[in-house]
Amino acid sequence: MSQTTERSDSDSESDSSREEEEEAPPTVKIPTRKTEVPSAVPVKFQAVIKYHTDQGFRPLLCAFRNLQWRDFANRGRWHMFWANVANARALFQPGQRYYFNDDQLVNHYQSCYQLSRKDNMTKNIKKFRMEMAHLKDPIGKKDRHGNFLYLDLIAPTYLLPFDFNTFLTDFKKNGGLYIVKPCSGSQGQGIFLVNQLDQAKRWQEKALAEIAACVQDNEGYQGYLISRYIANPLLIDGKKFDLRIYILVTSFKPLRCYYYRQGFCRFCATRYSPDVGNIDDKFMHLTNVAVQKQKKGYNRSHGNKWSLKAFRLYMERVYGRGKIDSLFDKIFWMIVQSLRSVQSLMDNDRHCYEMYGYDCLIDAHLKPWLLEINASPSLEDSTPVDRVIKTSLLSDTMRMALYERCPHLLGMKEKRPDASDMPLGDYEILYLEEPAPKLTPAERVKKANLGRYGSTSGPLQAPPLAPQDRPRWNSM
Amino acid sequence: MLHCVIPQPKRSATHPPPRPHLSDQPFYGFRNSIRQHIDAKTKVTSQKTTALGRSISKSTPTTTTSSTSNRYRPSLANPPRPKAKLILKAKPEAAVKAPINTVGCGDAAPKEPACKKPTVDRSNRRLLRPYRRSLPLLPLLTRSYPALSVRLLNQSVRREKTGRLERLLQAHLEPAANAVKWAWPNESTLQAHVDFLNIRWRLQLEKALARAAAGSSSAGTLHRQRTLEESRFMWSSWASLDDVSLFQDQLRDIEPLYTLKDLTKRIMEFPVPEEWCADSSATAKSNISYWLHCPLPLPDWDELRGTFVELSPLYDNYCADYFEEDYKEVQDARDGRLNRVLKRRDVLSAVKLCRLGCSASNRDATWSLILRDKTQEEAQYKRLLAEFVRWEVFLDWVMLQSVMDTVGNAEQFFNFVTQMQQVMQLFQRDPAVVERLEVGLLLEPLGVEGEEADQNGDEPRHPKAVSDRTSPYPPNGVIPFHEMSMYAGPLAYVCIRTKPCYFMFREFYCRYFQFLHHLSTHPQSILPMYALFENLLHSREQSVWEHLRVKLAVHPAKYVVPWLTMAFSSFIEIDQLLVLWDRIVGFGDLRVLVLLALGIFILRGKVLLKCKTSREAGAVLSDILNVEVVPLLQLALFT
Ligand SMILES: Nc1ncnc2c1ncn2[C@@H]1O[C@H](COP(=O)(O)OP(=O)(O)OP(=O)(O)O)[C@@H](O)[C@H]1O
Repeated sequence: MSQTTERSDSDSESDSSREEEEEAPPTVKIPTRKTEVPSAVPVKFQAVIKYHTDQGFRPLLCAFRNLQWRDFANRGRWHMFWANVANARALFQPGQRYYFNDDQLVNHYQSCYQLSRKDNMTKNIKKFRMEMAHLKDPIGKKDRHGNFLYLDLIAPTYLLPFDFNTFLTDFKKNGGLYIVKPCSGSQGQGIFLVNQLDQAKRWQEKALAEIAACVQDNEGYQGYLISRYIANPLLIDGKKFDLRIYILVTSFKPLRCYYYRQGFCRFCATRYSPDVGNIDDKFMHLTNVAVQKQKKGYNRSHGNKWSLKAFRLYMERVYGRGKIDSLFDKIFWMIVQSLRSVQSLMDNDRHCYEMYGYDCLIDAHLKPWLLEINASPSLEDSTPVDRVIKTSLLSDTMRMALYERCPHLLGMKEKRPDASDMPLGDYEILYLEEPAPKLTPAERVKKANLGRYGSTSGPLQAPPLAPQDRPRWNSM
Repeated sequence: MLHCVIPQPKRSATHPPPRPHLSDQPFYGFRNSIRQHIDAKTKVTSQKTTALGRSISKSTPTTTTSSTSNRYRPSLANPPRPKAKLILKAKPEAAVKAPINTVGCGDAAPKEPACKKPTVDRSNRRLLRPYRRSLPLLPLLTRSYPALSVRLLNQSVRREKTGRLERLLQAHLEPAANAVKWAWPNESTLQAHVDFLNIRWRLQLEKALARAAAGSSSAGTLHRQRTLEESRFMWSSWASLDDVSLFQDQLRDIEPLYTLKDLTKRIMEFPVPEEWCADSSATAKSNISYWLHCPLPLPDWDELRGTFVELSPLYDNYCADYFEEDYKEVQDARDGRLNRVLKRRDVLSAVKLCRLGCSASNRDATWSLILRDKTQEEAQYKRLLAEFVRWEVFLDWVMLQSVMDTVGNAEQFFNFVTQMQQVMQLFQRDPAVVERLEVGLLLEPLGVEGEEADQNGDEPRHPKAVSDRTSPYPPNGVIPFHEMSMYAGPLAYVCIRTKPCYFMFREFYCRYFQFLHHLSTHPQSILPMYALFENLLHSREQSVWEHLRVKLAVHPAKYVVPWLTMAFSSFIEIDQLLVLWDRIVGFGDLRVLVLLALGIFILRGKVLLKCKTSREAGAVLSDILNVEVVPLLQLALFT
C-alpha cells in the first residue's frame, strides 16, 4: 500500500532528524517561520557568546535568550555590545579608545550621527547629489527645472538660521505648508507646521538667539530644520501613515546592507484633511507612535501599526503589482543612495555595525520621501505583534553581524564565497558592493517548483543580489 | 520507528465504501459548480445512510415555506398542538426509515457496514423513541415564538412555552448526558443527536437574545421602524460607523450573545460514547470528548490526495512570497495566464488556476468570477441600504459592538473597521441569506411581526415570511457570534469597496462559513472536520497524539476548533490567509483547513513531544501567526 510505504519513508527521515535534536537544550522554543524549517546548515555557536547591554528592553533580552547567549556580567570580555549611541561612541573616544579584541562587536559606528541627525543627513544628501551632478554621473541628472531626477530623496529642506534666505525664495515662489523640526529631536517633540512667513521668521529669530547663547557658553547648538510639508500624503482609510523599514549595514566600504522584511506602517488616529485650520492637530499630521499614544482612546492592541506585508498586499490590490514593485524599488533606491552619500564619511571600523530605522512617507503619486533615519530605532514593545517583530529583528541582526565580522563565533571556519551560508533570517540582501555569483538556471527552476518549502529546506536561500541585479532602478 | 506500527483505525471495519469522489465526476464549468459538488456529496451521504437528523434539517425550511402560512398562525392564546400527522407529511422517509441499525457497541462488535439494511435493535430503540417522536415537534412548539415584542417572548413564552420545552428537552437530555455509557454505532444516530443538541442550542440563543434585548436600551424591541430623524441620522453616519461614540446610548449594556470560546467548549464537551476514544483509559474519566472513532464517513489519505491533487509539489503553487528570488518572473507568467482566463470569463479554468493560488491584484476578479452573480447585486444593495435606513434591528447594536471589539482591535484589520461595520450591517438584514442556510437552522427562525409594515400597507418584506404579518428574525436567520466579523475582515484586502465586499462576504458565508460554526454532520461542517483532524493526526503522528492526550492532557480541540471555526482568519498572517482561501474557493472544500491544522501539528510535533506541561504545549500551539500555508499543506498531504 502506498500509504504504508510513505509512512516508513517519513519515519526514517524523522528519526535521523530526531538524533540531531537530542543535543539541543530541552527548553521549549516556539519555532517561528525561519527556524522551524530545518536548514541544511544548522547554525550552532561554537563558543559561548557573551553579550553586554546598557538597555533593558524586553525584545532585546528575549533576543539574547533565543540566541542562547550569556550576559557577560562584568567578567571577562563581551563579544557583542548592544549600546546606546552615547555609550558606543564613548568606546572610540580619542585617547581613551577601548581596546577591541578581534571578536568584539558594537552596534553603532562612531560617526553614525552623519545619518541620524536630521541636519547632517540633509547636508550629506545635498552634497552627494551635487557631487554626482558634478561628476556627470547619470544618477545625478536634473530635469528642466533643475530638480534631480533620481536623487530627489528628501523634501526641500533648509537649515535655520543659515539657509533662511534660500528658504525665503522657495517660500515666495511656492508658498504652502512647511514643517519645522529641531535637528536632534525625536519622538515628534518640538515639531510644528507653519504656513505664514511671520511664523517662519519667529523660528529664525529663535534659532539665531540660540546660536548666540551657544557661542557665549561655548556649547553645541541645536538648530532647526524647515522643510516643505508633503501635503498630499497617500491615505489609507483616510489616514496618513509612514513606513518604518529596518536596515542593517555591516560595512560602509564596501557597502553591504540588508533590509528587514518585517517593517510596519504607523498610522495617524485621526483622518487627514489638508485644511489649514487643522495644522495644529498633531494627531492628524504626525505619525510618530510617541505622539499618537497621547491621544485619548489610543488602541493598545494594534497601536495603529500595520505590518508591511499587509500594507503591500493591500496596495497591490489597489494599484496593481507593477506600481507597487516600483514603489518598493524606489524606496530601496532611496535607502541605498542615502547610505552611499555618507560612505566616505564613515569610519569603517571593523568592530561596528549599525541597524537603522528608516522613516519614509509616501505621497499620493506613490513617490517615497525620506523623512528621517534613526540610529537607535525604538525597541519598545507596545503591542504583541511589535514584540514578535522586534525580537526576531534583533536576533537576526546580531546573528548577521556575527556572520559578517566574526564567522568563527558561529562555528564556521570560513564564509562560503557565494554567501549561501548567510544566516539571513528575515533579512534580505539590499546591496552588496562585491558582486557575488548567481544561482544556476537549474537551481532556479528547482526553487520555483518546490515553492517556499523546497527553497528553505535547502541551503539558506536568497542568493546575494549583485548591484547589476537591480537594473530596474535606473529605469525609474 | 514510532510510525511503523500503526493500527488501522477501528472504524475502518464499519466504514462504508468510499463515496464516489469529486474528481471522478465530470467537472462542471459553470458558476455554481462548487455548490453543486457540495450538494452532490450531501445527497450521496444522505442516501447511503438514511439520515434522520439530516433529513429533518433539510426538510424543515422547505416545509415552512410551503405550508406554514396557512397552517400555523402563531397565536399565544392557543399554543399550537403538536400534530403527528404533520410530521409524517413533513418528512415521511425520515420518520419511516428512522435508522435504528445499532450494531452492538464497543470495539469488537461493529461488523456490519453502516450502509447495510437497517436492523432493529430493541435496546437502542428506547433511546431513539422519545427523540423520534418529539424532535419534529420542536419546530412546532417554537412557532409560537413569533412573539412580536420581546416582552411577550420574555414573559409568557419563557414562562409557559419554554417551560414546556424545557421539560421536553430535559427528557431527552437525560439520556444525552449519560451518552458516554452508550455506543452510537452509526452516523444517523449521531446525526439525530447532533440535530437535537443544535435545537437546544438555538433555543438557548433565542432566549439569550431576548434577554439581551430586554436588558438593553431598546427595552425589548427586537425590530422596529426608525423614526424619520433616526433614519436621517443613520444615513448620515453610514460612512462613519466606526465612530461608536455616536451610538453610545444604544451600546451601553450590549454584550455578545455567544463567542468562539462557547463554540469550542460545545465541541470539547460534546457527549460522545466512550468507545470513540477507547484506545486509552486516561480520558475515560474526564468529560472531554474525542472523535477518533466516531462513525462518520471520513475520507482516507488516498481520497484526500485525490481531492487536493493540485497541492502536490508537482504543481506550480503560488505562495505569496514577495521576497522569493524568482517572484517577479513566475508571477508575471502566472498573472498573464489568469488574466487571459478572466478575459474569456472561463470559469472552469479560473477554478483550476485558483487552486494554485491567485495574486493580490487579480484575486478579486478571479473569486468574483467563480462565486458572484453580479446581475442582481445593484438592486439588492440598494434595497439593503434602504432597509438599513428604515429598520432598526436589535442585533445591529450587538454587531456594532462586536465589530469594534474584534476587527477594530486586530492589527490586520483595524483600517477597515468602517467597511466591516457596513458589511455586517447589511448582512444582518439580508433575507437572501436565510434561504441559503443549510445547517444550524433546524428551527424555523424566530418570527417578528412587521407592525409598522402593516400600517404602511407594505407587502411582506421577506420572501420567507412566516405569515404575511411576520418575517424571520434576525432577517438573515443567523444569530451572530462575537467573532463573526472576522470572516469578513480578510475580504477587505480583496474587495476595496463596501458593495463588492459585501456580496463576496455573503457568498463566502453561504457557501462556506455557515458550516463552520454550526453543529451538524454535514461533511464540510465543524464536527466531521474536527473528527477528520483527529483521525489524520492519529494516523500520521501517533506519538504526538498520545503525548498530548495521555501525558499532557491537552485537548487538541482547544486550539484546532477555533482555527477551523474561523477558517484561520486572524490566526495567520493575511497574505497567507488569502493563499489558503484561494484553495477553499478553488477546491470548494473546507477540508483544506483540516490539512493546514494537521500540517501545523506535524511541523511542531517534535517541539510538542518535548513539552512537559500543558502550558508549554499551549504556548507552542497558540502562536501560529508565522506559518506558511502551502508548504504545510504539502507537508501534511504529500510526505
Ligand atoms: N516633510 C514632511 N512632510 C510631511 N510630513 C512630515 C514631514 N516631515 C515630518 N513629517 C511628519 O512628522 C512626523 C515626525 O517627523 P520625524 O520623524 O522627522 O520626527 P522625529 O521627532 O525625529 O521622530 P522620530 O525620531 O521619533 O522618528 C513624521 O512621522 C511625519 O509623519
